[in-house]
Amino acid sequence: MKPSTKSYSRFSVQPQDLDAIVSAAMHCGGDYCDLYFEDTAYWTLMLRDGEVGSCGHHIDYGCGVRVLSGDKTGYAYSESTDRASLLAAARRAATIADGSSAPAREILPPGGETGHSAPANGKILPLGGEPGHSAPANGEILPPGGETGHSAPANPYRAFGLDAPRPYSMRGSLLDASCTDLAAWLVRLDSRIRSKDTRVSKVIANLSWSLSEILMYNSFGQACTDSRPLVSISINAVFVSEGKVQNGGASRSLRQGTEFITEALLEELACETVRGIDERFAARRPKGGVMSVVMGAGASGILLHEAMGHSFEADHCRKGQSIFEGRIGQRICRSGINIVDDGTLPSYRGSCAYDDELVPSQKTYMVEDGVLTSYLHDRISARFYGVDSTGNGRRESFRYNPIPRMRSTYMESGQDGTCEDLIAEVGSGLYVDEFSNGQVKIGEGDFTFYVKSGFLIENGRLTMPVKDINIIGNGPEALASIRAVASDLVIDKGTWTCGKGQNVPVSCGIPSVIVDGLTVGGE
Amino acid sequence: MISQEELQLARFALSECLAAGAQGARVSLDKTLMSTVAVRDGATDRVSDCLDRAITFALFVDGRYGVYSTNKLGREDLSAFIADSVAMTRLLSPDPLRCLPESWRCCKDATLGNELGLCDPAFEQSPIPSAAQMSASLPETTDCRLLSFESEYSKSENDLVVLDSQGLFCRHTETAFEYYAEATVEDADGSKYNSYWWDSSTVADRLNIEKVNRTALERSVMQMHPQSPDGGKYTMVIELEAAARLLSPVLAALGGYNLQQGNSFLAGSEGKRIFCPGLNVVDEPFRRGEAGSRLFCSDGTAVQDGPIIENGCVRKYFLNDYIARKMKLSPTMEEAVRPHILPLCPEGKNAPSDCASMLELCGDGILVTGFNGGNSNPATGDFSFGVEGFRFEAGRIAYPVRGMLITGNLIDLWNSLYAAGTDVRPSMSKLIPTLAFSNVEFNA
Repeated sequence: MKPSTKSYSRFSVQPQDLDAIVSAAMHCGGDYCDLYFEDTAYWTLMLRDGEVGSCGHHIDYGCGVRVLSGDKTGYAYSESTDRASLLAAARRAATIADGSSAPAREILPPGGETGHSAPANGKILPLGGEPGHSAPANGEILPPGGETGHSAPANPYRAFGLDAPRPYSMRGSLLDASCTDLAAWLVRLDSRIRSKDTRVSKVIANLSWSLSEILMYNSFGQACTDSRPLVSISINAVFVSEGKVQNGGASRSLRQGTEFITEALLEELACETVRGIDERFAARRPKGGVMSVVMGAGASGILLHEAMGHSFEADHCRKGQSIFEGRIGQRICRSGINIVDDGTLPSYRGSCAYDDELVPSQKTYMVEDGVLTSYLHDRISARFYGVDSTGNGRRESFRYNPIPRMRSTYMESGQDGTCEDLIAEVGSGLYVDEFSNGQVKIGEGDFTFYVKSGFLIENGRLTMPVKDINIIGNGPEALASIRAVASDLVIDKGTWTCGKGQNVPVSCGIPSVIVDGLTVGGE
Repeated sequence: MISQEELQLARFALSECLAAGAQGARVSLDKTLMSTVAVRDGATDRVSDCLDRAITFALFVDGRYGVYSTNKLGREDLSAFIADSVAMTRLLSPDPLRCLPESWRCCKDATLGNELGLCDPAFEQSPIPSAAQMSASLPETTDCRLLSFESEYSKSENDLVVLDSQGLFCRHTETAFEYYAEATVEDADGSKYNSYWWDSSTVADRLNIEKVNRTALERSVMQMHPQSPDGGKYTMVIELEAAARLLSPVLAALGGYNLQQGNSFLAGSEGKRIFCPGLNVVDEPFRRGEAGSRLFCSDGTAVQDGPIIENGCVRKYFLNDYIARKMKLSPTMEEAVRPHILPLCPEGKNAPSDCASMLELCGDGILVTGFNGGNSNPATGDFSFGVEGFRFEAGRIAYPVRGMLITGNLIDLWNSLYAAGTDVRPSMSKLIPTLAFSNVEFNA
């Protein structure tokens, strides 16, 4: 969305200030610069022991200034958005282009600038064009003085159209959310959970809602705003039976307004929290070994995210670290398999209208019909590979520079029947419907996932419930070992957060699949 | 680092909390300055420079409680934010157990910030190393190709002041210098191996950049040509840098949050011998000049040293004031600060002083150098972790292993502790030496 006067005033800046800041950031050179203003308000309510006895409200405000020089990054931020503070941050970020390795900290005189002000006319020419206009038709942006002089100039940084639709709505304003109503909803949720299972001894529920107001500006003279809502609820319940203790839980997170909070959601969450608890009390560790595993639809998609998705992130690839580096165009799994990273799914946690470097979000096919077709790019990696950014440049907040990150990552439905069909086909093996704590080694591709719940498969049927075991494998080998894909894709709506030095909200999903040859840890 | 003007701002915030209707309040002002330089393949890749300031309020209003924070620190903004926060707190259920800690429990010895000697006086002047220095001492690789070498140096200064409406004033100031290097190599078959190493200190001149570079590369190369030994029971030696993964869930199970929820496999364990008699874990929060040492908890109460586990007996739960009131127990402190596992030597032997001597002591088994995924169940203590490391035979490393898991129960595991070395790393928050456990179940 094009910024309004209100957008600028929120951050106490004027459009002409932005040009001056970009100018200061690029006074040593550099190929590209962007500014990322953020004003996030975050609220929490916590239910414990049947009462909502704790709340929170947090504000995070500031602006990050980034300068790119080839594939190198200079970054600084300020929690004050007055002109002097932003100019000081810009000059610190600028050091990436002047050959010095250390940012020189300046001490600002009270209320004043240091003297490195913008050019006299206060306007900064976007590289290769007039301010306020998009990049030249050929898309090539030259640094001041001519050629780029960098080793990988195949695709310089470029401007993108700013007409992306917002994949989220906010019918009920989060700013006007009634804490009293929300607290009452949480208390009803607690009662509903307890009414469904007398073994519930404790319930903790955390409800949070946030609204991030974003203003972005770049050295092409482009500006846009985004208003990003996010509402999340997570529940953990402790069950006690005959002296034994087990945990159950549920979570939901969507980019919506207060319409997220409904009686229907309350009932769904209560059912999900108690679901499968009998099996957990009965569950045992199975005998370990190498076996076929049926991944249940939905939350099992975390395996796709961890074991494959991270290896598709192009920063790992351009540095030669990823096991998938150099494999674009190669078959990496059976035909018919499509793996997608999508930032456009309405209301999903991983969705965004624009990424955090002013590139419209999109649906990106990483694997099409079994062939690796694209990595996930930010501006730096896109330039390196000579392709367009896929809109995956994301950041946790204005305190971080953007890097390639996933959004909603999933495998499309296949044509191999239902989950039950896959279980019958496997004959003997393991069915898993809930994972946690996955980890992957990007270079080697080795992954490990903790199974929270699942079942043994014997004679084509689910039999003994299992828990507290690990599955280990290798990403590319596991992908190549997918034998069947059901037609039941579910994209999970849980509170998934991806950590890669900085946290971002993501979504993940998968249809039921059979993966052969995974190692299952057990007794 | 926190200026007098900023200190006045914190005091202003505290008075505004009371003026807005809070009967009690705690205000924390946190300020951090950090500069970072990252180098990739010999050239500067990223520089960043940042200053963070935020105020956090804990408000006690009409028997109700809330926690708020903001980094909009103009006085007008603060006043409006505090008024809204007090109003929001009033919407909650009352909780009579929420109140400021009793004054006698609060820290009175942390008024300057640097009582524990955690600040490098040369912080401002200490230079950030050049790209050449950050790429130094990489040995030639003969049977593999170095694909990528990245390193990152950061220096930071943190200053924290905590005030409350009962007159509390605590300050903690700490400098940190950290260096991290990561290497990716490729063997002749095109297989990639990646590893890293790091160092950190409160003082700049204690960092050994060349050693970190060399170690990161060596650890990558050492992983080449892994094998998968048969599953079964092995002696497990665990490097001190990785061992915290096994102690952390034990400390969490001794934490009030899990105990109060009845979600701890160590519920009812206080005063009982749960672990092997040779296990001694002592909290040492006051070690001078070592990162992570501190004098007070986040609520301003004084931290305590002393045993956590003594000769296998549980000696301490971690209970802050609120949880202690809920559980009708005496408060201790909210968490362990610097837990130290004391040396344990098998009868007739000396405690090993490093990993090599631990391997020699144990003879045969698997050396775990890192974890890859996995988890433990807080209610039962059952665990399953992916591990990476090396098979060792006759006291020497034989080959790297891959695709292995350890499974078991944490109580059983710590009862199988065979030896604990003397080789803690003072720059780590948990002072855990190289450990050896007998009969650990490995799956492959």
